[in-house]
Amino acid sequence: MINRRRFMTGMGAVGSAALAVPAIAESGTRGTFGTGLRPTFAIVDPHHPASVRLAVAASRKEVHIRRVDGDLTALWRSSLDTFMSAREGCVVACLGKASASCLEEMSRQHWWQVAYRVEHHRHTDGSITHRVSSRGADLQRILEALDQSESWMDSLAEIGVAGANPKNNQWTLVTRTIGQPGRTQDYSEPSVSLLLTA
Amino acid sequence: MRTPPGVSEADYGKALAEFRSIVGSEWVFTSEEDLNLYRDAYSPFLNETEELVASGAVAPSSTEEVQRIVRVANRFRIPLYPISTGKNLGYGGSAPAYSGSVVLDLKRMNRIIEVNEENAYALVEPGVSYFDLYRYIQEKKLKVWIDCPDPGWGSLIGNALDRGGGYTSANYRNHFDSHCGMEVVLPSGELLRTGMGAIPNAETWQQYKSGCGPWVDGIFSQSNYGICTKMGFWLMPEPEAYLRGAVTFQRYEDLHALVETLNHLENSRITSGFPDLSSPLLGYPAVGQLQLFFERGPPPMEAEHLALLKDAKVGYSPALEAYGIRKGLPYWHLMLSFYGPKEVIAAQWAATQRHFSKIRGVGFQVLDEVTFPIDAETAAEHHEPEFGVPSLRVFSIGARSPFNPTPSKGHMWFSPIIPRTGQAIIDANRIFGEAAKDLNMPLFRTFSLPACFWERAFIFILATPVTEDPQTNRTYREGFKKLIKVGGEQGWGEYRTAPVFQKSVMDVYSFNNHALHRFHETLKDAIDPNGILSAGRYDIWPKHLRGNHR
Repeated sequence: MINRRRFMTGMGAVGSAALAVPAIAESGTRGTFGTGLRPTFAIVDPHHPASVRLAVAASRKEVHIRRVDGDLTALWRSSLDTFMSAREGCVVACLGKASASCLEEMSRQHWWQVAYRVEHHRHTDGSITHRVSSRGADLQRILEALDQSESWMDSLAEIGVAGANPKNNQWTLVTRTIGQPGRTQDYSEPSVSLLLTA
Repeated sequence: MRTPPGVSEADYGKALAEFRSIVGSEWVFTSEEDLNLYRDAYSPFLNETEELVASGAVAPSSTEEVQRIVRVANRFRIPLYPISTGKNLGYGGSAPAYSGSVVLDLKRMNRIIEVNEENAYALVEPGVSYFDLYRYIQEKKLKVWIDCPDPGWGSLIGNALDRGGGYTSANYRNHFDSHCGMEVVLPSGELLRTGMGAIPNAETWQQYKSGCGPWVDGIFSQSNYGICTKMGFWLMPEPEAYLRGAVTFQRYEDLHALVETLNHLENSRITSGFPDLSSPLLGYPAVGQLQLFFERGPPPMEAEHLALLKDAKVGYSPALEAYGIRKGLPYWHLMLSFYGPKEVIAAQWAATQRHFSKIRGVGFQVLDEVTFPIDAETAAEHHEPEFGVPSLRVFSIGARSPFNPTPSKGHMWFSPIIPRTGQAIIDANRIFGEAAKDLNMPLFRTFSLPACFWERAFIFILATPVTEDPQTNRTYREGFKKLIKVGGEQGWGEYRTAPVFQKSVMDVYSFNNHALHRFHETLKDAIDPNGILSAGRYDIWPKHLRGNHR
């Protein structure tokens, strides 16, 4: 019988992030529910370094951590569907691109929207390109975080766990690209940082 | 604020005010960010002005609200585009066929009205997803299974109306065929129930499909004649056990006998599970193993094998066949599944082996044996949809990996129906393969195998990439249309398609000077004279828009 649960097998370049996997524990008893703008959940996938940083930031801010290994099925079934159906609060995530697209589509089931979405494309020459789509109100602080080339993962994670700005008239997503596209793309799955709001 | 085509701003404003009074302001959407939720994430018009978009959306919570909305739409001639949960990605998503329509979003109508365990059926509203019904059944510990597509994220009603398919037993895999009874809001706002549902208080609405007199259910699928607000489905009683066996074949020409024998076994119900056909020698994976193929990559091939594949014509060369026999690599690999009492499925597997044994060099292997019930964790060790368990795992196919270095942004499904013969598989590969090569389309490259969702015909389900480059998308769109035409010349037609290709597909169904299409239009004019419902869906346009689109 083939074990179908080893979802991420074969995805390269997880490097040090993979070593950090045991350090990420799910949390579910701390934090404050229903505060509106602060995320209730941080959905993380330890195969992505930026996701590990998000887990660390979430843990510090007492945001509930939900860990996935690429596949969102169990999380959706157990809690996320029910949580999102209440149409309240926000969720921060850092996932592989395919999983992030799945999360976005599933969140539409309950009319959730993307507050920001940043694709992190790693290149074989070591450079990273960030493709940012954000509400106007959040754009500047995201761009500033990504400009801090050494510590962008921590800075973006801090923005994520701080949550969304209130709804305003600048909801339309604006797209910017930070960094020069490298000549050769890495074969690892790009990670995507995103904040979803009810 | 966007305005639907042909509707004045003033009239649209009045209609929106009435919609708000019916459903509440919270459930009428007109802002850009709200309407983004109704864009097709896999639109082949990505980043182009021709992308199909909504002008607004309204989300009722009851059949009565749907009726009132429809009546308002008639007064102001507002084009409506009903969706269930809008997860029809690869075939159009939530985006309307007629750009600027108002999406009638039925996700709030998510009541599971009945699940009858004794007679194995359910009655649901359009917003009920496969996950919802699965959860309900699990919580109540009912001994019935759903049949879901992969991914299982959509609506039962939406998928059935688009004639989707699943993976369990043949009685349930064709989702439209396994429905029993509908409730439909007609374009006039009148409410209709089909089959036995036309008898007030009938207890047999979900037990006998056709009632008496003309059976009209079919006209509400892939159409624009009504809004389905309730639908019954037959469920699969939880089987006692499951067996999956594999049959292997050595020679290219065995494909003919393989299909003939498979047809007999399926049509006789000796096997009823989803047959999954692959080719280890040609490197073509089984449908149920597609995720693993993308996640882990194809099995490694020797240089000699790769060179032989390159030289093969329509998947064949004597040297390639000889290589396969020498290396023990089957040309064809057929997985067959059986559900039922252990002693029954053991007998069915034995009969299956007896029938296939007539083919020289055939091999057999039992791959899986499962006794039910099992928990979700155990189901996840298998291809979950074959156990009626909805899953999102299929999204791994879209992940970049060393084996899939350039995943696409999305895809449009090319899915022609072909005859259930080995010769048709070969012909389709030759004809589509040559055409796709000429058109620079990434389809039918080495050799493709059809899926066996339906018992009496094969279907190819091949993903044409949607990229972020408009020029590439344009090339693929035009190529896609030409492939539809090429198929049509052979008598092959798509079973389902995205709005952008619906005219091309319906043009193929042209017997007697498009008599079928003319009949569709006659029905449209009679049922929906104002043309408010899903204009253009499957190329059925209301009279006032016909000249612009045909």
